[in-house]
Amino acid sequence: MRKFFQKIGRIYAMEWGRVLEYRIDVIAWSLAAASIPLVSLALWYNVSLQNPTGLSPQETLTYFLLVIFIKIITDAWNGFFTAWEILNGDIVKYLIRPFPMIWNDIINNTVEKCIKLLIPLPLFIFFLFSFPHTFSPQIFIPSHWLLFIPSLLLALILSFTLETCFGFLAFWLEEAQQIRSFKNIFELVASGVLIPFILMPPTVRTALSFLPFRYIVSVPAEILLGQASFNQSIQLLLYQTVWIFLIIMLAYTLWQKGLQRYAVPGQ
Amino acid sequence: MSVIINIKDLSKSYQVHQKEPGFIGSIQGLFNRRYKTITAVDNISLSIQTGELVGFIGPNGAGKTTTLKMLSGLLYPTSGTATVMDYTPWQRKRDFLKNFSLVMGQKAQLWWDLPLYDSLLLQRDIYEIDKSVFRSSLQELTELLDLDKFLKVQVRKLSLGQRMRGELAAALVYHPQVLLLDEPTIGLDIVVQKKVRKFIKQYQQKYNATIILTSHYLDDVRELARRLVIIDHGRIAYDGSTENLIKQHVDHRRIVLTFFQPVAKTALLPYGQIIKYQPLHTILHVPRNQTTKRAAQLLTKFPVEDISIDEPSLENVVRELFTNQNYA
Ligand SMILES: Nc1ncnc2c1ncn2[C@@H]1O[C@H](COP(=O)(O)OP(=O)(O)O)[C@@H](O)[C@H]1O
Ligand SMILES: [Mg+2]
Repeated sequence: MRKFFQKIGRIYAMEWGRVLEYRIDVIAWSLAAASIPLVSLALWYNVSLQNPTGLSPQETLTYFLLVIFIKIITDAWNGFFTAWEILNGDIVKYLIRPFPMIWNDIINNTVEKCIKLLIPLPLFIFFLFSFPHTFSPQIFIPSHWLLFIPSLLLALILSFTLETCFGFLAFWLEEAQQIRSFKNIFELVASGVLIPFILMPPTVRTALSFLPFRYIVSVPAEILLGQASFNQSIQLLLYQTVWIFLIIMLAYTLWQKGLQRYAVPGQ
Repeated sequence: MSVIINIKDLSKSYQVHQKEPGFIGSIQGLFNRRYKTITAVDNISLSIQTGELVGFIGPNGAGKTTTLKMLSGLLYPTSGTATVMDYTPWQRKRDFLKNFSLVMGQKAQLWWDLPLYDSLLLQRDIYEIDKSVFRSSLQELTELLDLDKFLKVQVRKLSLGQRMRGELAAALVYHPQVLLLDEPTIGLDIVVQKKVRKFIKQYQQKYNATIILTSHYLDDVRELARRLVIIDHGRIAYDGSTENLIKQHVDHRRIVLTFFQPVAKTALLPYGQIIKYQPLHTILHVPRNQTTKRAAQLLTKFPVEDISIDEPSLENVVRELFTNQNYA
């Protein structure tokens, strides 16, 4: 166990070193991550001012600012590296060493997220406490946070494992990167980044609830904003867990089957 | 001595997707994929003893890399079995991975954005090397491979030769028992090639490591390996010592002639196969048992200024093996 943490610690140290080489890019990435939710925010904020039946302006603002954070925290791009390394054979370096490759991705993911949160998080907290009345009062209810935090963690794991599966598609398809890009675009709609679930027509909403994406962004926000009751929140946490379980099983199968047919291109 | 690598009837074929060129071809390919089967390794059997240094040689596409990839557990074979240190490589057991190392060209363990030293520290932790063992191992590698000049330099800034030495250091710092080297000297200049060869030899002697080295440079193998395995079209064309190869397969000598007056090509034809012809300089290929007789005849019939009889070089033998399909 101690040796395990030593390995993890070493990779963390190296990943920090690597990311710090790219610090300027990382700030740009966090702006990029925020840009789509900000555009949605501007759009829906106007709608909320003109249409008193939907979300209130406070709720709209709170929702999309939350989405920025949830998106930064749950975002996963490890499938990009995985697919790339499978297709050009670089994955070999992980296959020949006695330590699971997935840890490199987990560590890369968490380190870059920490950097991306460095500027937006303090800003958000500052605004939250300086101008509390611009935000939905729901966000200040402690019990909501108690459910929100586990939901956010589950969302993060779900997003990461789902990306992993898409990366493994490269064992079968040379077009794995394009498929990933489609998934990412579709995810913007299906996870609630462009349109809050609460504003979707009921049939669309129901249909999208059968996919994993809602549980990555919308669900944590719904829980924190009190759009789901306590019982509903528990149910949502359960769904998240079930999705994670299914997707880990899928990832494991794809990995095993993929390695068996892998031709190790390059060289 | 005991057998450490045992390969039995091992084969590997690849399914290659045939793609028509151009956009129309890509569209067609979406609906109607055509595959071709390439047999890269064709039913090979081989056993290697602990501490042996074996050279795999063969032309490009012969199946050398494919064989090493199977022995490293990267590729599942199409049929046959292999064991390395009693493990089946493609099960990728932890204890197998801890005790073997693969160096394949330039793509290996090093982190590009960080100094070489960081990657070596990572190896220390991943392979659970004791701090004191690591220190002495690093010191030894630094001396043998001249690492001290670039140990603290970002890997992306290193030259090809420095990077290759870095890869070797990362691959050997944990003292693997089995080392698979795929073209370790490719693209390196002569001086670095020499250095790398010397290093491999020293490592093998010091740790009694079992090494397979592939190359299409004969120099690598001639200097390093006593045992030579020649692979061609996925099959083993020869397995034995270099001297034996020359003895067994070459029953010819080369007569190198210099004349003081031009000699016509047709006049030389009865005396042997002409390998190289210039009016004043010619090389003939003759059966060994005829060599002296022919040389004597040539000396009396032609205006010979100089004559010499050469042993065939390893290069020639191998070239003959590859062009002549009916080897034993
Ligand atoms: N990943 C791959 N997919 C399809 N064919 C391959 C692949 N790797 C190698 N081959 C083919 O298999 C044969 C043997 O290749 P290889 O083992 O790389 O030979 P060598 O290392 O002796 O040059 C070649 O015909 C090569 O084109
Ligand atoms: Mg090769």
